[in-house]
Amino acid sequence: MANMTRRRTVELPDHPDFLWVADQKPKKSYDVIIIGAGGHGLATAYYLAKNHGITNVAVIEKGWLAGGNMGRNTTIIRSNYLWDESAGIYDHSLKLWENLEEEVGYEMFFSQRGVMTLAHSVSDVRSKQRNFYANHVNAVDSVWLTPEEVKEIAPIVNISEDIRYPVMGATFQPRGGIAKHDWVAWGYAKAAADLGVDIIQNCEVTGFKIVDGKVQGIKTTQGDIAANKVGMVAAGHTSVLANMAGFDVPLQSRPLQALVSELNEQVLDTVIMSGAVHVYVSQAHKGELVMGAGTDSYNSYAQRGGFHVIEHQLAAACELFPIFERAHMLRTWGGIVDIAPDASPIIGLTPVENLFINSGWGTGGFKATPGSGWVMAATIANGEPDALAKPYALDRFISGHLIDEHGAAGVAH
Amino acid sequence: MTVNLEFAKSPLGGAKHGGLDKAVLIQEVPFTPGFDLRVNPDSSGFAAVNQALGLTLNPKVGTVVRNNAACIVGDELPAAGGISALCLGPDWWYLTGTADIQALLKPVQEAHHISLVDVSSQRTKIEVYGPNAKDVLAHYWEQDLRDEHFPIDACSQGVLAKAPLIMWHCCENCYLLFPRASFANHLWTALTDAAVEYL
Amino acid sequence: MSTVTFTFDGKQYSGEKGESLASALLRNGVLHFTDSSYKDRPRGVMGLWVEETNALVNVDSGAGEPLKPATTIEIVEGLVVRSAQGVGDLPDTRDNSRYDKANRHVDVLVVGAGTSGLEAAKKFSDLGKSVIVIDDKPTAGGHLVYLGQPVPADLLSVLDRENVTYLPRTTVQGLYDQGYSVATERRTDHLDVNVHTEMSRIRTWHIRAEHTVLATGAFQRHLVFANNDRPGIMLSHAAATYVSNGANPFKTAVVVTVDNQGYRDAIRLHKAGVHVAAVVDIRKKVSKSSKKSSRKAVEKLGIRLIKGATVIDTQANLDGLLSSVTIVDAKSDLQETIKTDLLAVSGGWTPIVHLATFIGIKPTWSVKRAAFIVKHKDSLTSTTGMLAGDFGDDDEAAIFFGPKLSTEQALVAFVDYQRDATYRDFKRAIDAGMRSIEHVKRYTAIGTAHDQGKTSGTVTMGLIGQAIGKAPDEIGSLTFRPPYISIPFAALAGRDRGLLSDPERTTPIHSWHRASGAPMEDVGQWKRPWYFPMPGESMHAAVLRECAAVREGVGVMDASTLGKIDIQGKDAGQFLDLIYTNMFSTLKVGMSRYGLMCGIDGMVFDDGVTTRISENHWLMTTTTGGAAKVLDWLEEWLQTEWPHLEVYCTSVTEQISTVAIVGPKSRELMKRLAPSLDVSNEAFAFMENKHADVAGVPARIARISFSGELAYEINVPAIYGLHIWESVMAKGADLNITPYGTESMHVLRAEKGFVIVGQETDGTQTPDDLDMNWIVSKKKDDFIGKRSFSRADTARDGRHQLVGILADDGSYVIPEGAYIVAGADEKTAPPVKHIGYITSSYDSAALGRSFALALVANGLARKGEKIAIPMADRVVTGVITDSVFVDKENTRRDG
Repeated sequence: MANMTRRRTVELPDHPDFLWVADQKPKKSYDVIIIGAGGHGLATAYYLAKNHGITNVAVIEKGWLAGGNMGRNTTIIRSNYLWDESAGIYDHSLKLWENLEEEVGYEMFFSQRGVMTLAHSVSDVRSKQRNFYANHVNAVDSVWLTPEEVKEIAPIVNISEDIRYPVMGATFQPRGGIAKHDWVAWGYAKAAADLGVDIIQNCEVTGFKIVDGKVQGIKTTQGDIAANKVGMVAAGHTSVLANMAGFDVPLQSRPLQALVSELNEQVLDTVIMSGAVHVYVSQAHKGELVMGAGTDSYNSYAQRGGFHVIEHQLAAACELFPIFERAHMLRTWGGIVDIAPDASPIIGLTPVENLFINSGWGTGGFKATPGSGWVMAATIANGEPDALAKPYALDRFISGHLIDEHGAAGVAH
Repeated sequence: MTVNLEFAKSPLGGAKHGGLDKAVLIQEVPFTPGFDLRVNPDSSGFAAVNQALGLTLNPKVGTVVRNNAACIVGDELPAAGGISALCLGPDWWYLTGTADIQALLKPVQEAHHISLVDVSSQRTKIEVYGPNAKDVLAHYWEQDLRDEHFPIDACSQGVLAKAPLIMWHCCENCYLLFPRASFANHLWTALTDAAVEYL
Repeated sequence: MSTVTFTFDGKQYSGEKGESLASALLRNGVLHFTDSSYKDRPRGVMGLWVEETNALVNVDSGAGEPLKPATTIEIVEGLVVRSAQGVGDLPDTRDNSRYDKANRHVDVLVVGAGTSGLEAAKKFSDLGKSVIVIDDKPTAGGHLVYLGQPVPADLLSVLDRENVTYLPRTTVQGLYDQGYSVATERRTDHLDVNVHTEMSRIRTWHIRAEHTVLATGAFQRHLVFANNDRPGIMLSHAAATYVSNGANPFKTAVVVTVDNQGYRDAIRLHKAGVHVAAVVDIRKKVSKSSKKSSRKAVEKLGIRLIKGATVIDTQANLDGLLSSVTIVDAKSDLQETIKTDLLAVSGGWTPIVHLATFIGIKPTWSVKRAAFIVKHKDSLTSTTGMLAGDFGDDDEAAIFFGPKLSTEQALVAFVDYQRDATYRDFKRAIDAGMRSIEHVKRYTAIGTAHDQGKTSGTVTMGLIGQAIGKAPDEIGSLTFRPPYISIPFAALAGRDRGLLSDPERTTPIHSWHRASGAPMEDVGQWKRPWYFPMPGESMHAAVLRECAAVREGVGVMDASTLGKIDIQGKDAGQFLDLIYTNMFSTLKVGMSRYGLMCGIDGMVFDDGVTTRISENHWLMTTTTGGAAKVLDWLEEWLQTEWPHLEVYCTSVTEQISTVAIVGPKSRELMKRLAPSLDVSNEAFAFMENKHADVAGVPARIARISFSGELAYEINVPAIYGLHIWESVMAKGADLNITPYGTESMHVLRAEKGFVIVGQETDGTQTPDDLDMNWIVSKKKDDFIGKRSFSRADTARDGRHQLVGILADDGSYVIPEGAYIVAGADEKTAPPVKHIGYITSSYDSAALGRSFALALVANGLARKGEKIAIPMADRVVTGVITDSVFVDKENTRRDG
């Protein structure tokens, strides 16, 4: 084996010896109950304890902690959405990200390696440049790249004219990047648990106790639990919960698929998204490519989608990144993205007093984890929407003040 | 309407690939007349249309009814006055043939609520013929091509190589494709490429 | 059997053509295959097929491929591979192989051509059903092939039947709802090292079956004990098979087992000439019947049998290869060390449940088999063979995953070989509070390598159960996901590469545009000429020239891509009144009118000119990009809300080709093209339509203008589109007829303040916002969107409104999309409060300077106000103006 050197992958750090109490049972009552132990729910519980000193809190999870969208995620972090309101909440979130590992005391492999969004036609360039200028006036870091500059940052991108939709430019957010989703969830969970929060897994909400229009507690498969305030942070299942509480929310839940490759030599050190050629990709620390595209076109809670979505994004990937031709697709999975009519979240009050909602994050969830938890905690603690959350009120669908991020959500990320 | 051959140009210029005696023949049949007919089978217009055309439209989606429109092979010319009606929807047919369909249905248009639109240029016609015709199509077509499920005179709309088209199983080992004209070039490239392992 | 030469890690070896790379290397005595991913521990081949955890290679020859298990490569002459340490190569060279896909519909799909699969195929074929039999191996017969036994002729011959299609070397990667499955067939790798282009290398089959029989069989799993990963430690069935085929670098073997498979493999090892020093069985007693079979047979052969014991540790020689094993008695804890160079491990059969789990069928734990099985039968799917728990005459396997380990032993007891994840890692996860297998997996990385936990999955479930005192099926379900094994990206991309990756939609005039050298713009899937530069001319200069020609002479544009919908029926007028914001039912026959369409939210979503061809016959045009969406919209309302209206809609986007001749000299050109037509203003007024022969072809000519100039849109059946264009070019030559593209079209309409849906609008503008109140009928009772105009946010003050912007520096073209702040604002350094943004911005030949359109809060009341535009490197100043810049009185349109 004299002159053969083999490529090696990187070691990942050990997790802490202790995370949380296994099989924790719920108490009879709490000050606050958060339904949903995904990233947002756990972050909410953490900030309730940390920012507001509210520790008599339980996070109730139907399955295993962070086993929903947080457990099956392509983990792109950015804040370069179009509207001012979005810049507000997503960039607040990004600022929290920048300090999160230290604050929570957990390695998350948060890597600010930049997020690039390619433009492939005249109209694509136009709308992305508008996004770029919108970011500029909101002081969200954004750079416009020519195709040559794209190639300099990411040599594997095919910027030649001989693909169907050549690259005509790109926006780039240098502060954007990725993090390891499970570790983010566990970091928040452990930190919240250390502050006194109970995390109850395998406990499904079956109903609400509502008296005179005010929530008093929840009914679950592990018994009734009383609470002064309840927050619904259950992504796609929030609409199911809302129905239990007697009202509707305009959410549609669609499958969103993603895939990983086997471990490969490092060829990509930034995140690249393309709407026209319909794929987005990053390469994680160990070396796997993490890829996704758009949602399937029907509503479903099945956490799986059609195979053609996978085929299309692999074809797109091979066109834009020919070096991926030989990479092995290793695993596909699907999540449930909950989408409101304007592709923006629904945060704040509901028709039931002391019942709060934070859902509809669609494809924007992971990146918003810290910011979402922060504003939801403030909203619950103060009993009224945090300033950053105000535009996302449920009643905007009546007034018409929508915050339409379908374009900036682009290829679903 | 007769085609002014001096000035007309079909999307594929009558291109041919493969051969009659080969595994597959793929060719454009240029300037094929085509009409989109809309008429409610429960309306008075339905009987009037049938009478004018000399056939009985079948409102079952996916069926084809013909009058004097047998398939031809090679350099044969089709019989005059022929009509084929492909049912694309409960009140929707695609009519094609050598008959002057416009003239035949003009009086019906005037008296009944029907819609007849000349779409001869909207689509073109591509023939895929031969013992490997199914194989070539099956590289892209996701619908069931087995004869027991898509017999002669079955038709279907769908997408083949991302090109929207109507497919008609017109006779043994022969399929007629009617893609939208702007997709014709792309479809041609896809079909001739799919034929690589058979020719 | 022919011999082939291949290269492994730079050294040449030979083997038998068609044998696996793993077998060939063992045949050559190569035991130390590679080193482990993190801990650099020597590793060797451990399995037979895709369950292989250690022996991965990067293939350099042929098409090249990263991280292929050596057990799944059939060696061919000239094969070149390098051992991998968990990471695959991605060379920068293109893979020129051909990849394709094929669709098939069939009555029955049988997955697995082992005995039970062949029996199922025979059964359905006998019934006259069409059958596809798929197997991932080169030869049919399943385990019989490994055992070297012939497949019964009556079963094998099923594969040759007329109604049976047999696909070997084909892996069913995914099973989806409604009998849909996806399989990848390897077609050329086993032939030679050439890169084939005349035949696809991998074909992806999309199969739709009325019924799917899963006969996927099982593979063995390992046991967890200290130093269970040394080269020389293999799954027993694999060891026995390699050795029986002559790939035998071993002298001595110890077999450790939890079931009778260990005995059968001990007998094969013995028959192949290996000295079996002992069979170590964790079971003290086995059921009576098996006493007649393999355990008895082993004893008869004089092989030492150690009952109620298992392996707890192993030792290596100086080369890191297995040299001895330590046995421990389960009761007494007494230990014994036995010298051996092969440890064959029978940890239990693990049925291949993946495909069933993909469609939500949950495996059940069989205590008897110590395995997760899938016993299932419904109209869509059924299981058979080992998958369904039919293990032949095997008796109860012990539910055992490994002995109790000390802390030191746990550090080197591997659960997932490829991830170097040990029992210590596993225990830490449990102690940290993890209980779900999904949590354990994510904490330890167990099951996340190329093999996706094929062997380690069940082992981990068992270990969790042992750790917290639950049965394996009480732990939860291990989630498997497609694909069953990894696939190259390019294989699934298939032929959707290059120009085939998405259609280029072209107009009938496309060949002329291409030949002229005009750069094309992608407008959705359409290719439209962007501008027509003279040789050496820049885009900027070309556009100025084109626009000047249109306003001073005559230009020609291909408008064929616009959406066109034929609308007929006595209620068509009424229908259009409901669809558009303005009135259409009063439009005279032969006239055209521009209309605006809103969604139910009152926001503009499309526009276009609609013509009344005759009393009950209309032709609607839409934007190029909106054609399909608008037709869907019309049909939705007609079919679901207003089925009582007698209206039919038909797409004619491609039926009609439209050539627009535009400019003061267009009248002259029109006269030449249609000598029979009276083109005087009195005879042919603005927005009127005439039918006439144009260049010898019947046409409908409309006086519609998107530029404000005199213009004629010539509409013909698309087969004559090119002829009209060429005639225009010929007859207009001495008028300096100037073809112009989408860029100039954009400039010309912007100079007139005409909006482009999708550019001045983003789905949040009402007609009022666009300063188009004039197009909202005050006479109509109702139309789509009207109700929403009075919504709180839609009726409020301060909405963004369409205005013009002139930069103080007329030579500077403000970038489209730039955001605007009130000029009175001192602050321009971000973050700043903006008042709107630029929607369109161009350099104008007519104005001799730049201009822009913008959406500005309360813009209509702010004309004359100063604004500033903060850019990265400068602040641009300007003023808010009216949105019409050229020909404000609309006098040019009559020429």
